[in-house]
Amino acid sequence: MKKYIILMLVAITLILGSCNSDGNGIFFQISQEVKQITSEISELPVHQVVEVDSTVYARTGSKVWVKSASKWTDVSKGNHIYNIVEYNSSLYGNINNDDVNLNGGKIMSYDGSSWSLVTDYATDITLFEADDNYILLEGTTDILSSTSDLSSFVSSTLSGMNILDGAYNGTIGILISKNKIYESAFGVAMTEQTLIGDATGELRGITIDTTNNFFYIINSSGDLYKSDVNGQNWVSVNSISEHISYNGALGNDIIDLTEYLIIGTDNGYYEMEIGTTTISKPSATTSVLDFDTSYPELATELVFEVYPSSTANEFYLATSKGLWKRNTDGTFTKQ
Amino acid sequence: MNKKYFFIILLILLVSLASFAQETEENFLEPYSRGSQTFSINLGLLVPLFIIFPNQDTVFVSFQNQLSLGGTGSLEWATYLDNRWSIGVGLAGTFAGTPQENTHSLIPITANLTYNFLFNSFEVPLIMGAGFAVNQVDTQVYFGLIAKIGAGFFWNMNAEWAFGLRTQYWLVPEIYFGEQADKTAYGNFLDIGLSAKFHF
Repeated sequence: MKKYIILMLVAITLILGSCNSDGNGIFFQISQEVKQITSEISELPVHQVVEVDSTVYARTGSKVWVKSASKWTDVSKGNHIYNIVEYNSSLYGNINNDDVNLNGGKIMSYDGSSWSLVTDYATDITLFEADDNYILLEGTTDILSSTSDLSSFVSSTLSGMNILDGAYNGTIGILISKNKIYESAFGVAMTEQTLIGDATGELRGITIDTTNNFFYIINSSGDLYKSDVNGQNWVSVNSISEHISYNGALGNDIIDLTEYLIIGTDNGYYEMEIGTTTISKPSATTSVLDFDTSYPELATELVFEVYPSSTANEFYLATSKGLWKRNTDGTFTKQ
Repeated sequence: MNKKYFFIILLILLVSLASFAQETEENFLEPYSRGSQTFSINLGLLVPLFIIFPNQDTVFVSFQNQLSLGGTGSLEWATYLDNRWSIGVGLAGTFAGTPQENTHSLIPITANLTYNFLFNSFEVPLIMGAGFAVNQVDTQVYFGLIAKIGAGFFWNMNAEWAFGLRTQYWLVPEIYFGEQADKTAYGNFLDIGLSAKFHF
C-alpha cells in the first residue's frame, strides 16, 4: 500500500512538474498584465510621432492627430500629409498632389488650428528630419537638399537616390538609400561610402549614439553596423533574427543615465546598451518583471518608428497597432 | 457579457427551486443517517484574494486590479457515514477577467469531507475538500492541485430540501521546477454563494 502511495505521489509530482512547461505561469501572467486604454488611434497603424514642445502629434497614414489630455483629435483638415517634422516649436508637414498622375508638393505649417503654405514645389516631395537637420527629396529625380534651416534648402549635386533615413552627429551628416550611404556635412554635396564586411542587406535605418557620436545602420535582415565619428570604417556589431520592414525604426535614448540603441522590428523592439554588442528584448525592470507578459501586444507589434521624447527616460514606439510610450518608471502606456 | 447573463439566470433558477420545494413540507428531527445521500447545486461569486510567490522578491501580490470579481458554480454529491459526517465529490467551474480581457478559469474536481452541526431545522456544515484543478488563462493551461475549506448555513425546509449560504476558501498551487521555479505561485480565492441541497 505504501509503495502505491509513493508511486502515486511521484506520478503527481512528475505531471505537475511537466505541466505548462512552455507557459509563463498562470498566476504570474495575471499578476503582470497591464490594462491598456483605448483611444481614437489605439487600434490604428501609427507611422510617425513628433513632439512639439509638450504637444504630441501622431501620423496615421496621411492623417495627423494631436493629443490633448487623453483624447486624440484629427487635425489633418482634409489634407493628405505624408510626413511631419518639428521646427522652431511648430509642426510642419508635407503634402503631395492627391492625383497620382499629377506632380506637386507643399510644405505646410500648423499653428494649432490651421495649416498654412510655407513652400510650393512643382514635384512631389518628401520631408524628414535627421537630428535637427531637415532633408527634402524632390520629385522623381530625387534631387536632394538638406539644411538645418527648414526655410532654406540647399541643393546637392547628387541625384537618382531614394533616400530612406538620415542622421547627424553634430559634424557629419549621413543619408542612406536602400543599398548606399552618403556622408557629408549636410547642405553640401555628399560622398558615397562603401559598407565593409557583409553588409549586403537592404538598409533600413540610421541613428547615432550621443555618447561616442558613432553612427549605426541596420538592414532589413536585422544586421547592425557601426561607424566611427566620421561615418567611415563600418564594422558589424551584431545581428538579430528579426525582419525590419520600415525605415525610421532605429533610434536611441538615454534611460537612467545609460544610453541605449532601440531597434524596432516587425516583431516588437530590441535594445542594446551603447558600448556593448548584446541586442535583446526589453529586460526586466523593478516595475516590469516580464515585458512579454505585461505587454504581449507591444512585444510582437510591428514598429514603424522609435522616437525619443524630450522628457528624460521616455520614448515613443509608433506601431502597426497604436502608439506606445515608455514611461520614466519603465512601464509602457498605450496612447 | 453573456457569461454574466448566464450567471444571473442560474441564480434565478436556484431561488425558484425553493418555492418548488415548499410544496412538500414535512416535519423531521434528524435529517441524515448512515447511507443518506445529498446532491447540491451551488452558485456564487469568486472573490480573488491574493497570490503568494514564494520565489519572488515580492511574495504577496494582491489580485486587486489584476482579476475581476468572478462567478462560480458547482455540483456536489455526498453520502453520509453517520448522521454528522459525510464524504463526497464535487465538480466546480469559475471564471474571472484579467486586465487584458483574458478569462481566467478554474475547473476543480475535489473529494470532500463534511461535518454537520445541526440546530433544529438549521445545519452548519464544515467542509474540507482536496483534489485537482484545471487552471487556465489566455493560452496557458495548468493541471494542478487544489484545497478548499469552508462552512455553510442551511435551512432544512423539509426532509428533502435545504437551502443556504456557503463560503469556501480555495488554495490553488501552481508549482514549477527548474528554470521556471520563480513562477511558482499559490492562488488564494474565496467562493461565496447560494446553495440548494437535495436529500435522498
